[in-house]
Amino acid sequence: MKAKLELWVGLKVIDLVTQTAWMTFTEKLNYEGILRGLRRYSYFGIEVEGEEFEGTVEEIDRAIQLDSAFTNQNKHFYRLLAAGTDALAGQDGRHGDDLSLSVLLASDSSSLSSRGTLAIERDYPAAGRGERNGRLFSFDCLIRPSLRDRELPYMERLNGRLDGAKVTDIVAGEVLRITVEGADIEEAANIVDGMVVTRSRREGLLMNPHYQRYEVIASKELS
Amino acid sequence: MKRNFSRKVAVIQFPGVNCEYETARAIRTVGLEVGLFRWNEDPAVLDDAVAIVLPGGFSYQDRIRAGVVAAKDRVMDKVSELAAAGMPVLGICNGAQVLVESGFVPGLQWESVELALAPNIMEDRSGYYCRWVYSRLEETRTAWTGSFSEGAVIPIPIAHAEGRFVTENEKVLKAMKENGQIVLRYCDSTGVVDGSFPANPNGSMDNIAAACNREGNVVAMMPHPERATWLRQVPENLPDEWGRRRRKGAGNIDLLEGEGPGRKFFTSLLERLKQGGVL
Amino acid sequence: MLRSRVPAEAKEKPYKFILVGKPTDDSGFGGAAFASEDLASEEEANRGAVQVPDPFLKRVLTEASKKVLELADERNVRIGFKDLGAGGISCATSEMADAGGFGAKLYLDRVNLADGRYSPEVISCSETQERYCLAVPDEIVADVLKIYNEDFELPHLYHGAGAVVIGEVIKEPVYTIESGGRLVCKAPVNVITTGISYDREAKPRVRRFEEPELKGTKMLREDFLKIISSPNIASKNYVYRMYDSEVQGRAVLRPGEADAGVIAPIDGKSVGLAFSVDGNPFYGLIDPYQGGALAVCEAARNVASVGAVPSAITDCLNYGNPEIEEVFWEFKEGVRGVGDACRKIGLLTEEGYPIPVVSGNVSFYNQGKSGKAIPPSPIIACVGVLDDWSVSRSIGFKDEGDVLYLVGEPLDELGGGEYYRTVLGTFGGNVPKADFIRERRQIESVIEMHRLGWIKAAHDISSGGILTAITEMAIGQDPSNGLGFVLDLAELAPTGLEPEKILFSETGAFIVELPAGMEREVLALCARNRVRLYRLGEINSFPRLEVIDGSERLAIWELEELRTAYDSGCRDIFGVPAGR
Repeated sequence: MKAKLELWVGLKVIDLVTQTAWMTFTEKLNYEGILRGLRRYSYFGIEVEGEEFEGTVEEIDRAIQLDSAFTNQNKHFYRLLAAGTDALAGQDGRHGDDLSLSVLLASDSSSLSSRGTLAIERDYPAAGRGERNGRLFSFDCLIRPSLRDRELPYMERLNGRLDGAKVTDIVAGEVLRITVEGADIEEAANIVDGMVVTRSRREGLLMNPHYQRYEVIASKELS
Repeated sequence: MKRNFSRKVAVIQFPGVNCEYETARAIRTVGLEVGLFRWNEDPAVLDDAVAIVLPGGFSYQDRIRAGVVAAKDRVMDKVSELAAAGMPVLGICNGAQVLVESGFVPGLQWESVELALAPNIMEDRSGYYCRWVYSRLEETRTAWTGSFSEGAVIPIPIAHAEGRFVTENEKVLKAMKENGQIVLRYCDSTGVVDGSFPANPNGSMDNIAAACNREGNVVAMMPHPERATWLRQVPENLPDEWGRRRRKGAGNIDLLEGEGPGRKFFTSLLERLKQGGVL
Repeated sequence: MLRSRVPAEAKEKPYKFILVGKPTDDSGFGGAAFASEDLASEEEANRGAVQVPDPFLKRVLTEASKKVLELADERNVRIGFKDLGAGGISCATSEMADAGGFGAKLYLDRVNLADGRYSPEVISCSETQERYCLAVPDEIVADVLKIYNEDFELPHLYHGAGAVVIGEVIKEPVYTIESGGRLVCKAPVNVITTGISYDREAKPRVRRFEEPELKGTKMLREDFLKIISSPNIASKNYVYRMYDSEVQGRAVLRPGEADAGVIAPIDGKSVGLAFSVDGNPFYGLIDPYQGGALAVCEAARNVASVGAVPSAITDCLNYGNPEIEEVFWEFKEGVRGVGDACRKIGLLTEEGYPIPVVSGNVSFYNQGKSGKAIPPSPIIACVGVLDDWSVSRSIGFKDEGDVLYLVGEPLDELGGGEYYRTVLGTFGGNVPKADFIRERRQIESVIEMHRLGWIKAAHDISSGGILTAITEMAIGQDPSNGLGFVLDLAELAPTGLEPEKILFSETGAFIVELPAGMEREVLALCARNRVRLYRLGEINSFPRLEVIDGSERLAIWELEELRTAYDSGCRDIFGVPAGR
């Protein structure tokens, strides 16, 4: 049995990096009014082999809870899902909405419902606040180092804690979930690209293309 | 009360830098005056400065990426203008990261980001690394290296987690070589550049430890000259002439407060300013 | 000097309390168990109550606070300044008020909070890091707030951070807290600041430790390679490289170069400061009193090794559950040892004064899953003061022809030490017995030698004894020099000890490297100070270490293999082949 899982890890406490990115975009780079939401996750795309699905997912879940390279209960919440199910969960323009998702496992199961932890997950600031003139689009931008050498240690760490299951590949990076206002999705995608790729001092912020790469792994228009 | 930077080197304090005071001290040691500029002051006062230094530390906590948030600060608009007009600008460690994210180095197309200072690649370790290394002086034409002799082997400490010069565009590296924009290369104690760890402590491409813009007035260096300005700072057991000199100086404060291997970075500036009639 | 108490000027004019720094949250409270009144809020649940430091914010606060102090100087006003630690706002403000003979009135509604709702007791007592409290006269309150909130943009740099007025100093020594319009705390201020004391039972723990049978020196070569590569002895270079030893540009000696770190703290002045931290839980296991005493002796010896006068200590006392009588006895014994050492070694520069213990920390309830207490582990940090930092040398061999002397003497004290544990696999019983007069005299002698300009290298004897110390000095040299040494045990025959005991006894002492031809002067100095002295031999230019006993060679090692063993010893701890 082979499967692809996604681990999304976010901060329970205020995310200063996201806050600073927001302020830099809106106060220094002229994205005031265009940038409508910003959220940051650590992201792991995990390819795993195992006997059967449920047991394999359980093993992975246990391993990531124990290893602070993945999650630290003091500051993180997380969701472990089948790949693709998260796609822009909670991005409906309304703060604190509890949407139904096909979530396999939730973090910190003692306090968080199995339907997701969206009450804690929020944009900086919440998307949809203020006047909306155009259409809103959200993009999940996965930023990773260009070299794979940083990712392989994660694979070793996981496999070191697994019994029957085995991780065969892993993608590790950050997802910046960016919500912008635009005329259509193409224009919005261009705007986001300009925000992500640092081409010059006054253009771009989130990644430096000389040692990092990025891809949009999900996008959608918000109603 | 308006701040006065006339005839002074301006050392810029972004929130989170922590090397500004010894950097100022090192500059004063060669006879230059220094003023500390807090990042959110009125940048217009920098027009009168004779040079600008961006010191080491953790500006904005390295949020998003080391140096990138500071690069977008209002004061950097002014630094861009002054650097483009030929003012000597030195970025040390985090300051170098700010210059690279600002596109002033290599500055083939001014303000275009053509390089990155990326996470260290090392043997058997990752992350932050602090050690004394050796660097070879490759270019004496810059505003900050004129007092060195070409090929000088300089012991100097590094302390960083993201010090690896890298580019995705090989034309950039080619142009830098052709234009003489590689200022320092990591080497061993005899000056041999072979790229092995820990002589090259971070995997920097072409063993680059410092680079400059086309004109040579803007230099971005990862090693810390202010931590090698006095003989006292040199570790006693360095396997070279500086180590021997340090040992000989024991018990003699005047000798130990004398010149260390990094002082010439600042002496060069003084000479350049005098030659240019600025001072 | 800036004090933490509310200044006496508060009798004449109104003073306010300003809280500055990180927004207050529930750090230090037990997570869900201490959640706010509204438990339905998922945001508070299980966030965990760990205190989170923030060096970046601390740095910005430091620079901003410097400006505040400059302002106070300019305007000629006195302020009080205190950092918040255990007990948070209530502890800091009550202590500031009480120390000045005042009271305080606090308004919790004004405190800048992190996201979330917190009960008054949480706001008053939580241990959120990176916060300070200032007692400031009304006339500069606005300017102080401006420096923090505008000049240094605290709220902008860190969500919720900033400076706010949270209360006022009152002349009556009463402490009140208001929250949501209600009075939630009112008490005489000294009631709050006075501690609660417990009378605990102590019962000596009887542990039997036997001295082992020695195995002789036939396998000395292999035995010593085991010691030099063992975790407590082997190079920690791998760790040292992870930390910035150069920032501020004041380092004279850095970690790994000598027994203490040394800095030149004041521009243009020759005064130097030396720092060392030490403690050996194996000694504490055998004898808790000696554990405490020897930790002070060792830390003091370390700063003396670089020529500094031991001038103050701070302690970190780690023990098991004090409600268990044997553990409490261990704690009492450890404290008695620390106290005796400080009093009887004494402050060399002030006749009759002890080395002051200026601060400290106690950690109890340290035990394994089975409930077994950790070995008594008093850790001591010592600060030493140097008149002239230029005399401080690294431990490495310097020049061929120089002479190594032993200031002190090995006794039959290998209990708890490296040789017994690593080679014989046992603790033994003869833990070193602190002899405070001897320690003091040896320390004085080594400091005097530094002052006279004699010292080219100095290293104190501790874990692993004389042979380990000499080896560390050989390894610490300029690697291009190739110096070595032959240790002739015959020089130490007067001790009457077996060879292994001479080589590995952990009795406190010093090895010093002096120029050739100074035998008479050194002897005279040591005789005057009434310390033992042994001339061990001359540094040679053969890159090896040899141990002989008269004409018999007991072992020989190449310098390279010692260096390799020392460097690679961290393999087991860090999983890397060598610690570059």
